[in-house]
Amino acid sequence: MNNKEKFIIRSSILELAESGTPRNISIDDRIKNNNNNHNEREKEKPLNFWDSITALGAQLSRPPYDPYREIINLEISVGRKQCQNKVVLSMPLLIYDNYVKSEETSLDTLHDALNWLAVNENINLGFVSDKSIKNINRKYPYFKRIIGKSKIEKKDFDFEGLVLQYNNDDHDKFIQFLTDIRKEFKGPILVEIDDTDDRYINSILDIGADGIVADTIKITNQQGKYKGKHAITVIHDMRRAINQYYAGKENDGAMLVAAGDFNNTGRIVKAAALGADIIGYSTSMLIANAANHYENLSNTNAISERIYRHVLATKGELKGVPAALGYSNFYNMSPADLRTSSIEVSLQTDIAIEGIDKSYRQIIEELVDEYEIKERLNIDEGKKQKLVAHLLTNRYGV
Amino acid sequence: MCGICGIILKDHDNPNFSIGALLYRMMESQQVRAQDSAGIAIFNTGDAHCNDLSYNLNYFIKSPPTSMTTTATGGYELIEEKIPASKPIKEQSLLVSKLSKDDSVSIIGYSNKMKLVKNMGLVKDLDKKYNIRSMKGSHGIGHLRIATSSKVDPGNAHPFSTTVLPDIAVVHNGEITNYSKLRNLLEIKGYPFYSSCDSEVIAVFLADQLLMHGDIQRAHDQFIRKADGPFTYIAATPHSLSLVRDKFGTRKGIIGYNRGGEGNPAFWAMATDLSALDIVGANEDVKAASPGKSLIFTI
Amino acid sequence: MPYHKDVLDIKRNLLKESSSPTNADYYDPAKIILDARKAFDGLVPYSGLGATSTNDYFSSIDLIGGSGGDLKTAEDYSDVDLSLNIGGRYSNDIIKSDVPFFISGMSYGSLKLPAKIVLHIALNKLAEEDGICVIMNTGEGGALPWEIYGMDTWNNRILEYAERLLKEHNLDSVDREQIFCRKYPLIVQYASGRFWRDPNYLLKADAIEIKIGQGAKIGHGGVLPGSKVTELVAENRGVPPYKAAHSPSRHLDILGPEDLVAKILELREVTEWKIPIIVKVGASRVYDDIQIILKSCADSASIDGYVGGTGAAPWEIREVIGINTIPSIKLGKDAIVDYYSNKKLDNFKLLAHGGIWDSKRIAKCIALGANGVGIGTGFLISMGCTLIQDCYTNTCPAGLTGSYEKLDIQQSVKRVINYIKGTMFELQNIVGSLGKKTIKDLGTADLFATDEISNMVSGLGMSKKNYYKQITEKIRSMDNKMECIEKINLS
Repeated sequence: MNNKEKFIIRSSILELAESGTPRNISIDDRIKNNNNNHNEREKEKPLNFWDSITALGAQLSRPPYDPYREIINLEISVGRKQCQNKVVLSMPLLIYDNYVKSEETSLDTLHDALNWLAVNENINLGFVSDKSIKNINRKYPYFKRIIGKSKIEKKDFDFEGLVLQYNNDDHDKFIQFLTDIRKEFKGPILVEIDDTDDRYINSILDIGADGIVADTIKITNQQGKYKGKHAITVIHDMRRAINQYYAGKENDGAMLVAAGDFNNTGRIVKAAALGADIIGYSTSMLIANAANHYENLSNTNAISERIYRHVLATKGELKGVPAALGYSNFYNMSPADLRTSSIEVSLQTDIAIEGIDKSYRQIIEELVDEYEIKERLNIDEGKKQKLVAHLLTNRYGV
Repeated sequence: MCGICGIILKDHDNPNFSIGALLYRMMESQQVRAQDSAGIAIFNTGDAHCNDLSYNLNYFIKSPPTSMTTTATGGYELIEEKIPASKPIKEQSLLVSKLSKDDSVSIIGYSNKMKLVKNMGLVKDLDKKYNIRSMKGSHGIGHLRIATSSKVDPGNAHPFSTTVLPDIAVVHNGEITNYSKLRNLLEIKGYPFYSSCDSEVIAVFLADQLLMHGDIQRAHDQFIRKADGPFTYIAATPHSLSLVRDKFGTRKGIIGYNRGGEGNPAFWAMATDLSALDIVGANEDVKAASPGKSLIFTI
Repeated sequence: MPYHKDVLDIKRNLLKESSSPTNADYYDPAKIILDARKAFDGLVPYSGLGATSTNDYFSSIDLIGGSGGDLKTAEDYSDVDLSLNIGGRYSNDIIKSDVPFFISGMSYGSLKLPAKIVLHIALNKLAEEDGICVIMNTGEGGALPWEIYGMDTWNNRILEYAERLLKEHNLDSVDREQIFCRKYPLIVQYASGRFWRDPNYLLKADAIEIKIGQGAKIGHGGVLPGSKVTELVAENRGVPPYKAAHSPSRHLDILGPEDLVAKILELREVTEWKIPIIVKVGASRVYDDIQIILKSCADSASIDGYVGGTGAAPWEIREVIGINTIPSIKLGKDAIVDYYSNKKLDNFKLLAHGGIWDSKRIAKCIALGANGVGIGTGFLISMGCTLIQDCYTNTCPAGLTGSYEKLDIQQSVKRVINYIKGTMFELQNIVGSLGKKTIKDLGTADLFATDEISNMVSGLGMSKKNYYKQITEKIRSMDNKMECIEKINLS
């Protein structure tokens, strides 16, 4: 309910409460008329995609867990079976220093906060950045981000993890780079990619990369098959590509890291259920949340304190949601726990529509099968696929 | 899932004692709370086929409605198709894939030393049809179902078995909440699933583990680690019977001993309810499985 | 947990910034406040009332036939039957209501005493003066002494407690006769916190509702913040004062379907199989939950959509978990139809809650398959609620959930009575103008949906012939293409 709707609801009910006699028009009709008069945006704009997805809680068919009574696990170990120095994170978050220029002091406040969390609360959050950390007194895991063609020497290995940037203009050179680094570095190596092209993912994972990073903002803004699409499509497709890599093999833990516009717990949980193992939480948002409206920017201690508290609150929320869904482990959530109220979302991610418990694609496929039986035809598989694709792209409105 | 029970004889070579009767009594005492379907699996029954190397493929086929079909069983016939050991593996899997495409068929699994019967309805209907009370064997498990998710039909009744490895039977009380994730991982690896019930994933998971290292204890420990949700299950193979509880111990699981006498052999009984143990007189040395641990009997 | 002073400053700044049109698109003021609160408190942020749904489908589903289901009509439809009976499936008695809606559970503790007294007096007056019987639900905070005992059995301790309550809230002047009677049926809520101390809470109830969960916090326990647990609330609930009263996320003795059967049988024994037992669940896995409730011996099931309101719920739990009210009614109805496909129909009733505050919405829910509807926020609004969602902070500007403002009891009683009567008249007009004599005759045939998603989600069925037409055309065009290619290959 936005403020306008709240006003209409209140005034309509109060009208009834004052008079006790029937009104002229119901609340929903009044809101509809109001929207028509003011040319409201249509409901399916991408900004509403996240809000159109909800999760199914635990009631009778499965009992909810209680964070006060049962231990809810949020820890995750980054690194595949053959990675020797795995990094253990206490929450499914990597603080991602994105392209926004942040001042020195703000990075210092973040550094203090992360140290406090590691020492006082035993919460290890990973920090990803291309800048080197000046402070040697670092208690949290640091992932160095290599952009472009910089080289690193073994003696400079002062980080626990690596994030490389895949460049498909120079595929062979990157593969060579990755192979060399893999031999030298014993910690987890994550690779940022732009595409879900199977060839790239398969070869990157074959060499021994421990995970794929998808920057959903970048991917959905650049030219390519995801232009104009939504972050949820990217996560869904990346997860499918990684699953296909493991077809017929033992899953040894390659991760999907989703970075982008995930800065509240709701989106983190939904992205995790869709298939991302770790979420990249952007540095600038974290600091901005803590300090944006706080006047005294020079008091870095206070800002660190805010960041510290913000992370503690987020941890409480991240424990509460899986417990309410019936899981004792954050990483057990899956797309079967999600429902959506939007056909577009169901098309892009195969999430089931609420009330029907089938995805839109499944409904259309069943419709084609029913047509086949009704008309006593025998449509071959290829034709059926084309029919389904046609119906999905030319969506019919009642 | 509701009532699960298991019996194992101390002296497992006693061919004259019918543990089917014991299982029947335990299940009947719990019947009031769960009436959707019933099923049992008994091992080392001493039937002729146990001794040769052939396998049985068990499956349900929906029989066309006749005047003979009772409403309780809903018109499903349980078929045991014998596959002689001489038939190569490829032909066996062809048969499975042909049957799995048939909509009226619901595959259960392979068996050699195990007899598995289950159907919709009450346990006394099951007894009328298959004469459970006279079944003999070294150990067996039983189950009564009240469905929490997935439909009520014979394919979704317990015990669950699998075509990955023969002679595995699992009965389960509770919910495997991350069922779809576990099933997805196993399906990507290439294993087939034939029902929509979450308990089937236990059988396939255990079969996968046994194929990798053959250690039943390790298989149970892996499952307890990986699975989420409240559950207690009893799993049986020709050489073992185990009672396993989830890591928080949300569902009960107890065993008791009956020392026998007067011509009756000694046995252990497993159940989720004390009254089920009482009714077969297994009230010596009653103890519960620890949360997150398994109690395994091996033959 | 009242607002930190800095957070109030942020709120004020935000109102300025977010009102500019360029910012309105990206700026989510609620989200920024949420982050600020997390950064200041380090605690999980709470909020009051219900979640915001992007699409609750009510505006795209309409009533057809007659003159469109008018709220106001020239004809007199005052003899249209709107009654609702709950019980009788396994219980010996039933509770009756003259309207198909009742007051949802809002507990004493989250609502302050004046608000509870307003509702109580309003229902009493309706029953006595107009002969209209409306059911009320106590909510999970226990019942007030007059709700259990009425004018009948008293002992000095309870009378003393009641007088203390009234004095503390400056209600000395209200007519005792009106307060201490109860002329309407009361459903007591059996929640996981077990907040009552008197066994008569269950023994003298007219119906018991076992609350497994509610829509606003599905799978999560409830909490009453410490500042709202006054001495009297603490005494009513049997908890220590000024400490947050938590209720666990599940009944500690109900972990699955067989435990629910055992619990219902236990309650039936205690109440001698007289009173109806209802089971309330939050709307998430509705089909499975209703199947379980049907197989246990309950008389009725109650589902609460995720937009349902509450006094205090963690923000993310409220916004992220659950499904809307309309698909939950559809799933509930599917479960009931499947269950009774091979059994004789009996008196099982389906009740729905969650954002239903209007007679039109009530009619749509009942047409979709609910038998009765619970209203919570609607009653609060009729008493003056301003929807600022600060219920848990004890600073309610309408005096409903906070102790700083004073609620005008006499005026609020009039408003609640008018709200109920007005909704009743409107419902009668809607049902009558569709040509029906009773609201039970409303069905899915009286509804139509204006877009594809609402059609699917509400179970009204998709108009398949339009899809079939598209398929036929496409097949024809594909066949034509194949013929052309063949012709080219042949020539």
